[in-house]
This record gives sequence, structure tokens and C-alpha cells, in this order.
Amino acid sequence: MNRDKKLQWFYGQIIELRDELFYFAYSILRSVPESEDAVSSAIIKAHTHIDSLRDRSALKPWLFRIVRNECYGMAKLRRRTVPIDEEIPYLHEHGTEHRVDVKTAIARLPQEQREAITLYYICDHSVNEIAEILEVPSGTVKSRLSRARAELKRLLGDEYYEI
Amino acid sequence: MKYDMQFAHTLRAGFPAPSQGYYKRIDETIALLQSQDEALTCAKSKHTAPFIKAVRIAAAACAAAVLLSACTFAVKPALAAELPLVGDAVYALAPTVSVNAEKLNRAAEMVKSTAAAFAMGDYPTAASLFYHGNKWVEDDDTYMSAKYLHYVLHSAETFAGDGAAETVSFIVTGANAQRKAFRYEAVVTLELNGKGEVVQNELIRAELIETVHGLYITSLRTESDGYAEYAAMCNSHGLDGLQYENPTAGIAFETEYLSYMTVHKNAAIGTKEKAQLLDDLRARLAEAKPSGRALQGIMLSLDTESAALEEQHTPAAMSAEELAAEVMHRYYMGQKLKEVQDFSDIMEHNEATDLFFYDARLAVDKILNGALSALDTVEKGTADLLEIIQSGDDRMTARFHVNTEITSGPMRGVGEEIILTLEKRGAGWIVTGYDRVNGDGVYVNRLKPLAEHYKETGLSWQNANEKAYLDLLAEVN
Repeated sequence: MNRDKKLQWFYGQIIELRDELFYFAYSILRSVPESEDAVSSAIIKAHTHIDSLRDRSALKPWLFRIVRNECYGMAKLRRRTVPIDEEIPYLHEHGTEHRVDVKTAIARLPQEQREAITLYYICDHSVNEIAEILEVPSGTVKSRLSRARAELKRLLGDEYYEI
Repeated sequence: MKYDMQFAHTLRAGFPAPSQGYYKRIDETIALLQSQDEALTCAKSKHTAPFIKAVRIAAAACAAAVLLSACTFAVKPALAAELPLVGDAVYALAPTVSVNAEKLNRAAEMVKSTAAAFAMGDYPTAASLFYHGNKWVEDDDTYMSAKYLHYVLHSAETFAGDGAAETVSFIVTGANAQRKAFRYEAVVTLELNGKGEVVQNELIRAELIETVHGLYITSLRTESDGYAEYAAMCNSHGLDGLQYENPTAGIAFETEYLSYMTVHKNAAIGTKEKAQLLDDLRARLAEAKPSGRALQGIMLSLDTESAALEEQHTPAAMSAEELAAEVMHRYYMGQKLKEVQDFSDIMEHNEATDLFFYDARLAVDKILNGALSALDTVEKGTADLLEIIQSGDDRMTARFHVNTEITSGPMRGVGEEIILTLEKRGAGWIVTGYDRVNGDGVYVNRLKPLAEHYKETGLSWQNANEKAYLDLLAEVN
């Protein structure tokens, strides 16, 4: 592929995917400013290494993987300090379960389930695409999605949706 | 896998929208990258295109790059932080502004984490928070603050010095910060809560830098009365003249050195323990690999201390009976002078004598708070050896009857039985164990049974003895 064309196509894809990239970053970092920083940094990194990308169809999972690595790097740095971002409320009090809002329920999911469910339901990726991004087998993605749905249903109750 | 539209819709409610500036930022990032692409293409085509055309394209690309860079750096100065020249220019042109709440919190938490890491001696964690990593030791303010914070949590004067550092919590009670481009200056007030109700406030001024990789500290300075006193103390002990090849080991050495010279040296902790502390100090000094003119003075101080301990190891020649009389004489002199006397030349402070010191202290405390009257006249009496319970070449345990001459007051003509364990040191004896089995005093009837009770509940002998003493003190307060 001609480099100029490749770059133009790359920029077009960035514009198209910027919301999804942000939501995916947010599923990991749980902070709007940090998620935006992560996407910005990821775009610059992707541009630097664009020549290593041979196949157009590989761009999308490749971009998401770069964003994911960026987020993990930032989260690692953050863990060395005391977390200051949003606090996740306890869900149990005196043995009674309290219903929580969607944001809190998502925040309560384990990291890998949160990534999978964001990519599937928010970013509209297929199971195979998610498997490629997360570098795990498709079966693993399915089981993470299934567990995440079950947990969200438990936390949110039936009135929000019907599966 | 079944896709559920309603479920997806519900989930979207859990995700916030990006900020207003996000799309603009992405556009600007792309514009910046495109201008770089153009400049690169321009440079590559230099050999094939006519010279003038190339210059025009390059100039246009450079102008676009400068314009876009200026816009980008104005919105996101962190991008310029690590760029030579550009970073300086962006910093010079940027105004000083206050920072948003999230960045302020982040800066405050970083300062708190760094202070905690310094206090605990966790230098790898501290380095991870600094822009230059391990090179934080090269910044004088930061290094001095690290020494001070470590001393604060390990000093017996402030936080008990008995491992209390692990139980101390750090709380941010105030923070303020301002930003100029990618550089921040934060002033953070920390509250250090130690064991019991020990609280200490520290004001820390920190300089930070924000890069594309995140926020980092570049320098840190503690500002408090305690810090000023600490700096003066280092100066008076000659420590400020020392240089260390291993600076973090130097921090541990200085903390122990100051703790010894200001606290342990005069504490009734026994010569063995003092000798051990001095040995540890020498080991730490060697580990720190110091240099500088002050080194000779430090070495001389350690040698002087060791020599003084040697003298204490060799008590004046005194018979066992004289020693028993001397122990009780000093015990009652404390109640005359309202201060527990120094026993370090005749008696070791250890597990077998600890309760004796609490007994002496309790009596003095009672006098100080008015529950008892001070003694008027106390003179050394005589002691008779009643029974040798156990004996060896250099050690014996014996029962004595001691008459201390108290010629006035409610304890006139007191006589009592004590059991001492004595060990030979040089030409004389030193007391290494103390007990009483009969009599109607506090020691036999209250202090000892209470301490034994607490030991049975699983407390260490130190804690059990202290708790028994505090219980009895509470009764008279």
C-alpha cells in the first residue's frame, strides 16, 4: 500500500473510531481525562509504527491493542500512588444486597470482563475481533461475556433490561 | 453470541461521554501528525523536485507544523515537556494558572506517597514517582527531606521508634498547586498519625512535571519547625559534612546515629543493648561508604561511646550485700528527688529487671501527682544475705534483707526482702535480675500479679509490664 494513502486511511479510521477507543480506554482506567490522554498517546505511537502494519484489516485490533497497552502503562503508574479516582461503593451492608446504578455495576466487574463487555456492547466488535484485540481464544471471550452479563444482571436487577 | 440491543443501551448509560476538548484534541493531534508527514515527504522529494518548489513546500509544512504545534502545546503542554528547546519555549511563554481538582488531588497523593515511601525507607517506590528516578538523591532539598521524614518515623522521641513506622498513617489535610505549562508547584500539608494519639503536621513543597507518560515529582522540600530543628541537629552532630557513596544507606545511618546520640545514649536500656546499637551503627556506616572531613569526628564519637560502655561493664568493686543496699537506696532516693535514678552502672535493664523500673517509676509518679508524699531523708542502709538460692562461678541468685535509712516520713525504718540475681563483671557484681516474693508493697501485691496476668493473655513481657504499670497509674490519676 502507498504510504500516503495508508496514512490518509489511518487518519480516517482514527476519526471513525475515536469514540470507541475512548470508551475502551475508560473501561480500563475509569477516568475521563486519563482515558483521553491514553488515546492521544496511542494515536501518536500508532503513527510512529504505522509502517509495520501490512494489512488494512489488522488496523482496528492493532489500534485497540495499542490503546490497551497505553492504559495498562498508565494504570501501573497510578497504582504506585494511592488511587484518587472514583470510589466504588460497597455493595453489601449487613448482609443485604443493595441495587446499584449501571456505572457502579460496571466498575464492580473484573477488569477482563469489563474490557470484553465494552468491546462487544459499546464498541460493537465481534467475538473474533475481541479475541484478536485481547489476544485470547474466542471461547474465553464468550465465557467472559457470559459471566459479565450474569453479574450485571445480578447487580442491576431485572427492571433495567431483560436478557 | 446473542446481541441484546436493550442490554447494550443500558450499558451505554454507564459510560460518560468524552470531554468537550477531546475531539478537538484528536483533530489537533492528527493535524500535527499530518504536518510531520508533509515535512518528511518534502525532505524525501528534495532530490527529485525543483529546488524552489521544495523550499516552498518545506516552508509551508514547517509553518503549518509550528502553528499546529503551538496550538497543540497550548492545549496539552505535557507533549512539549521532554522536547529540547521547544519545551523551554513553551514553558517561557505559558502563563501561571491554577490547576484543576483532579490534577491537584493527583499531585497531593503523589507527594503523600513519596513522603510515606521516604519515611518507611522504601526508596524504589519513591524513585518510581520521580522524573529522574533514583537520581532524586542528587537534589539537596529532596535528600534532606527524605532523611528528615525517615527520622521522624523512627525516632524514639516522636513516634516511639519501636516499629511504629508501620502503623503510621499519612493524611492530606490541605493542598494547593499552580501550573506553568508542564511544570507544577504544589504545597501539601500532611498529617502523620502515629501510635496512640501522636500527631505531627508537615508542610511539603513539591515541584512536578507532566509529560506524555504522566505526572512526576522533580523536587521535594519539607518546611516545618520540626524540619528546621532536625537540620540544626544534623549540623550540631557534624552529619551535614558527610558524603555518601550509597546515599540511601546514609539515610538509615544518620537516623540511627541521631536516635542513639539523642535518645538511647542516656536511656536505661542496658549496656548490652547499647553495645549492640553501636555495632549496628558501625555496620550501617560501612554500608553507606561515607567520606568528608566530618567522618573522623563521627568515628571518634562512636569510639568514645564504646569506651564509655566498657567502663559501665566493669562496675566498681562492691560486695553483693553492698549492691543490694545500693539498689534500694537509689530506689528510695527517687522518691525523695521525685525522679527515677540512674541504675545503669549497677543494674541492667532487661526482662528480669523491667518490672523493678516500673515499680520505681510508679512510686515517683504517685508523688508527682500528689497521691504520695516525697521522702524527706534517705540514706543508704545495710543489707544481709539471707539465702543463696542458686550460684555459679560468675552468677548467683540470692535473697537479701535490706534496711534503708529513712529517718522521717511514713516509711521510716523500712526493711524489706528482695531477691537479686547478680553477675560478676570485672572485680564487682552487677544486678541482672530483681524480684520480691513477700511483703505488702505494690510490687508483690499488684504490679507483679497484674503483669503476669497480661503475659498469660499472650502479651509480650514488655507490653504486659507496661500495661500493668499504666493500669495502676490510672487508679491514682
